[in-house]
Amino acid sequence: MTVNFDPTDAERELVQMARAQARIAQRYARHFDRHHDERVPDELPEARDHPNVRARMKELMHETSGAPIADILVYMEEIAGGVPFRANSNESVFLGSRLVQVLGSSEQRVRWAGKRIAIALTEPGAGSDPSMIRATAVFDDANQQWVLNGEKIFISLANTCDAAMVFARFVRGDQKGMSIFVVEKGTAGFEVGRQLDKLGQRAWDTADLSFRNCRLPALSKLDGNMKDTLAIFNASRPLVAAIGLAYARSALNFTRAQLLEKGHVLDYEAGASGLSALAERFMRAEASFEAAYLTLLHAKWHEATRGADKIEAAMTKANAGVVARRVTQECIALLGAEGASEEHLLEMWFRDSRVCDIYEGPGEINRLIIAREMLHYSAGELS
Amino acid sequence: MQAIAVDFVRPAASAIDRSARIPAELLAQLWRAGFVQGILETEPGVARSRILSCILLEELAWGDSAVATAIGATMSYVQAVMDHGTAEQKQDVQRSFAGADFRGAAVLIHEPGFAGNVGQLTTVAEPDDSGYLIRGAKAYVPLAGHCQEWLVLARCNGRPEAFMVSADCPGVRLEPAAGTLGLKGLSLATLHLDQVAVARGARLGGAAGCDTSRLIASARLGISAMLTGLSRAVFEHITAYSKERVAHGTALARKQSVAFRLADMFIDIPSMRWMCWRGAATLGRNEDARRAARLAHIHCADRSMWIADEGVQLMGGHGYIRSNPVERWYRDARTLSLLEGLTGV
Repeated sequence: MTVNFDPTDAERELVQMARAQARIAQRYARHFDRHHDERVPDELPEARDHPNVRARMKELMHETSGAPIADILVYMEEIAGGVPFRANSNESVFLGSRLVQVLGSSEQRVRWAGKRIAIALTEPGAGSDPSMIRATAVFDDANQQWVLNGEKIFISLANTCDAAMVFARFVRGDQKGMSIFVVEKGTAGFEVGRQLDKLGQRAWDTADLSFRNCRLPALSKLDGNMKDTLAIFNASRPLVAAIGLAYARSALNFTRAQLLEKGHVLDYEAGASGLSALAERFMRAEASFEAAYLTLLHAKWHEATRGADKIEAAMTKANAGVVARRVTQECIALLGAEGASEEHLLEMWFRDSRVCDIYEGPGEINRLIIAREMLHYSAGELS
Repeated sequence: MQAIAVDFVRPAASAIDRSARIPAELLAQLWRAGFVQGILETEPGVARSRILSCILLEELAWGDSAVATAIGATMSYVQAVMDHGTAEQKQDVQRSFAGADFRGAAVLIHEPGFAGNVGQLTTVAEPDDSGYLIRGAKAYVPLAGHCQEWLVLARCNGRPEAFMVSADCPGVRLEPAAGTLGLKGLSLATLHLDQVAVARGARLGGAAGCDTSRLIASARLGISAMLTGLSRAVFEHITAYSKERVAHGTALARKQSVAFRLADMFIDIPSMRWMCWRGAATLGRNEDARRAARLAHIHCADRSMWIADEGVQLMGGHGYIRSNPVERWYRDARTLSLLEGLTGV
């Protein structure tokens, strides 16, 4: 067996394409950072003349190390652009769409094929603990409909999506439990709030959703158990890790260029006592990034060869979450006050990256997942 | 490999630390396992994988860092000659290290003195009519009594080069060890070189010399792989203890502040391994491995010190008592993580 950490030629080609487009997209990053209520167009004006990276990826798929790896390499480049070059060309962000294909009946899969479905889980009083969810869906026997009521907050892709996949308690006769419901846009009583005013990731479509007496066809309820449903995070957590690491990498590349410009020497042969304090601190930040990046690649390699894994996903998420925070904090510190200027994107990456240790399970939740598995404890024994 | 570490190395670790001596029988046994000879058995164009060297060093260091360094030191010497030596130098090494008895050797990079810098060597090799005259000193020389030869890094005509120096050269003097915080079993000594005359053929790579940055990268990766094994030892030990020890009604491991630290170790250890493997793969492809090796070393040094430190902390008073291994791992981690020489992949 050979161990190889390098991209294939096809992956290199895809990364180059994505990087060129991200460089153009980056020109728009500051604008949408300042105007969080404006939506990024479906296609940036320049996009028309550029090839579609995702389409090319499909053509080259057999020359890559597998879809999960090629996808994450390209995704990291795209994220570095700050805004999407072609909105939603990356279908993998619509986790609800994936869940329908995994858990749905044949009728449900057909009905929502090609629809962009966002996940709506978090509520004002329920985040990491789904058992606190208060949204309810009651079955109306007379009309064979579900009646959904509830509030969902911090919902990614709230405006862009065609439908939301809502986590709610259901009651049907004497049956009760937690389930998920697909609610299409246009359903009476389903409203999308204003774009949220956030610390960072301001171009990222995020809003609250409300459901007031929404009447849904019986078909809307997916029959998956909560365990299978939450397994979707095994695929999505590495995506968030990749987002955080993309910001960290941008911050490191920018900081390296400025340090070299200022005449600092980054001598990788010298020992610690042969380096300036700044160079040594920079290398420490780089080392933590590289370690988190290899952890991500390992999780993706696992996904490509053996399927997405809960522990691998939690490991890369917990690691990248904290590395994204620390690296962007340190890069600004290394460059001094100028590093905090809006003249540059570094301060934006500092703000953008912060959420990566929060959404899709904060570091604490991911450490709980790892510790329970590793120590053979139930949720009751370690909470 | 794992079996040897479990059955022979780990059980001997405490006595090795206390006696500051690795039993000759253990070295002989490890020699027979063929870790060093494996490097010599190269078919044309097919070298032993550097990643395999990382795995061997990780497993050995899980058993004991001093023992791992003893074997790793000879591995690094042989690897350096096979990588950079002239045809004649390679044949010499293949002949002299193929025997049935343990043969100690080491690549000597470090020099005595505080805050030393491997990039600024003070040992000098002056060319003369018959070869070179070497003067200077090298620190952390392992297994003084067992070592037959060393590769000494020295500045020659302004650039670093490596010279093969044997223990019986006139002008070579070993200063007995003052003792060290960790890795006690190695009896780390100082080597003084007082105008040591070596032949022209003693320069590694002959007239062309060699790129010593590759020796330093190899050494950093070797140390990093060992730090990975040491960290795993701490992690396994402390995990078992935390599950058994009850305080305030529940096992320590059921408390988040403990469980989260264990989870962080669980995340860190594989990432240390991937950093080593990537550096080793880069080195094996003859590409510039300086950055990969330096970053691996930074990461592994940082994480292993943290893991060993938390290992002591989580055992409370037991962690401070020498009948428990964590205090030794704590000392070994601090010592080993500062080395950038001695072993290699």
